[in-house]
Amino acid sequence: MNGAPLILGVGNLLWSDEGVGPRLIDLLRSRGRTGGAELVDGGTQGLYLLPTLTEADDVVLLDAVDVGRTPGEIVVLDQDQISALGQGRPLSLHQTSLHDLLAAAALIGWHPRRLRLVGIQAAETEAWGQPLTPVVEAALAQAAEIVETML
Amino acid sequence: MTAAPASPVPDASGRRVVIDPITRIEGHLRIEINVDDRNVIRNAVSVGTMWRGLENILKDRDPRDAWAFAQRICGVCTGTHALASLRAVEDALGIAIPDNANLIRNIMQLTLYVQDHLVHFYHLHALDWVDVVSALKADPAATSTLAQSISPWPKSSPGYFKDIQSRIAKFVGSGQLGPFRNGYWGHPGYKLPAEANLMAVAHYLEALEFQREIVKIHTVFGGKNPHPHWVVGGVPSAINVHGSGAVGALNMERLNLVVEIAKRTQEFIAQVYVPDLLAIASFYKDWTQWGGGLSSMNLLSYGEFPNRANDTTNDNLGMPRGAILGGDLTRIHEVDLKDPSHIQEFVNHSWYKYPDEGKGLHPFDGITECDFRLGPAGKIDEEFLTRVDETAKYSYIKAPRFKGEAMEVGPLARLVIGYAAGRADIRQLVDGALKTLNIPLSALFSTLGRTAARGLEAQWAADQLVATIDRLMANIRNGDINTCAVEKWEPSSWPSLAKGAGYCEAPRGALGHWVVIKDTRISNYQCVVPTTWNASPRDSQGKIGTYEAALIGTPMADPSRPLEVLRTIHSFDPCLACATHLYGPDGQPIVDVKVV
Repeated sequence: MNGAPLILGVGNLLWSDEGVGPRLIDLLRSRGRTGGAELVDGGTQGLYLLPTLTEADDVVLLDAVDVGRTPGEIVVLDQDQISALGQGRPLSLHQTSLHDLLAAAALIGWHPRRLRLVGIQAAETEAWGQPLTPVVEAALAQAAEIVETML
Repeated sequence: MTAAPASPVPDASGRRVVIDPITRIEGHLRIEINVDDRNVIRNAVSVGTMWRGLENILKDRDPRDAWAFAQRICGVCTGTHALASLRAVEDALGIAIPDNANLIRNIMQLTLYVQDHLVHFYHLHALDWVDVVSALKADPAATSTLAQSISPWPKSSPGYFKDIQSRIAKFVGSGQLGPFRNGYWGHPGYKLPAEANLMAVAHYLEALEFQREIVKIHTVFGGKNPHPHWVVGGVPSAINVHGSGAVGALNMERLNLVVEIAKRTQEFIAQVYVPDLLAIASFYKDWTQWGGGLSSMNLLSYGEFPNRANDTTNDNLGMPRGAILGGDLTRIHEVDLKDPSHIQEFVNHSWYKYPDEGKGLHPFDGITECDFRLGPAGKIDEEFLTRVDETAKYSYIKAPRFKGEAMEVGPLARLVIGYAAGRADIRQLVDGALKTLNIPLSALFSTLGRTAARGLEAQWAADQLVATIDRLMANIRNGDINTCAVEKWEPSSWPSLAKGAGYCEAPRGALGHWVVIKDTRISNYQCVVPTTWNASPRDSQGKIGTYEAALIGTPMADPSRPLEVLRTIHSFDPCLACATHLYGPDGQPIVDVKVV
């Protein structure tokens, strides 16, 4: 386990707002203001992200969420809020992967010092092959700034 | 002598049951069945509910970039799509790759096989057979005795199993069910003694830990993981055995790490996965009667693991290419990805449009144009699809056919084709397992057989992995460090029109990519993925798909808790592309079972 924070973006790049996690990783990388943090585009790898996740003990997850906010609104959740929302409310649009990943990590004894999630409320998740919706695209820079100040 | 096997005939007269979605972790698959008054499945309808428009995304792009897009088709087996894409482009442009590149690609692919099969068995499929709640009641001492009777694996003391039991109890007690929340715990279909359940749950956790190690091989050769790097012409792995020079180059320290991981993987599969598989199977021999579907008739493999680079003749492939039709194991049909009469896709029952839907199209001429329409019995209520009408279009999956037949692909197909082809390594593996379980070869044509074939193939792949790494090390010791052919990298060296087909055997079955390159850009790109074969809908002749055939005839204990359907569908390791929002906008449960 190394001390550098892990910033893990998850989602499917090919599926409109679903791709917000990997897109934020790209943006953060090009801005270059995340210091020694490790930036990882986790795509839709689900359980296969277990090695990456469990080697870190300070994690910021980036993901599209559907928590009933206005599309483009940014939400920041701490570990308890992530667990609470994960019990049945739609936290992330590919929540089963993310939720199962976190549960599997807990099962094998992973207890991070800090786990947070920065999400953007999605507007469109059905359009295959489409880019981010303009409202979510417009929120990227602010979400990136929030992540940078969290480190 | 029994009559030649025939595909079951669907009968839609009974009660309708809808299961959506069906995959445990990710995917968009819906199954609708009709059961008769004794709850036997008489009709099955396999519905892909997500449109995959990747082909359209790739149009007009640089073919050297196609692998990077293609690997995002699938959430987990990204490497296979990258590999199929590279092979398609290399085939089109006449690029021959170096021997080391071929070996490293085989290592990447074998690594994926063992990891994918392991994760599938323990994390996506085992809970269809293993009752987690029952494990909480097991006697740890008796569990230890059981574990030691089937394997020399050292983690088998009573104290170890007691610890596992408390961990699970605590986890379940916290209300945080996580991966266990979708089980039909207590269903009468669960037959394992509590001790076998506890042993399997312990290995579920060990496999979670262990699979983290295996992927390090991908990081070594692909530079990073997830989403390792690939390159047209070879592999992007510079080799530097002297330890100086380019940062990130492969050196002996990295290669020794790979050898060590491969050997531990081989041991884990031989001492944990295969013994568990055989132990669990011994309690579920009734499942050799159900779920066979087309496997006793039509099987397809494109072949994989070329021994020498750039040679796709069958004798050179570790897993042979071929097709079995009509259950005749004495004849292996040649398979040619470029022959328009061999592989065709039909859309009569798919939500796509062809100018003439009376005919199938070969992927070189494939068209991906969406056409969502429901038949008269189809129903949408408040934006939710209540039921489809299988007499009309009903799935976003096309219907691929080999010489007009629906085919099963995957580990079972590969092993049976290898067995029929007389491959000694495969025969030894299969015959050994059949003897242990005391079942005939024909028992493989079933849900249990499919699940067993995957485990046996994992063993085969782990052995091959160790041997292939040895060969790579020998090449490097002999001074061969070439990993990429760059002579045809520049588009100016390409012809104005080129067509290529990329074969691949993904862990879950035959995968093909077809590319047409015109004036250095992609003018058409088509993928036919393993789950397209297995989850196929009906075709122009009304022939049912592979999942559909596999479900018909299965008796269910309780159609509102469709464990039997999950067992058979999961035995195929379905993968319906990714990013899933399994929850509806109002936070509905993950699996929605409706008895209509």
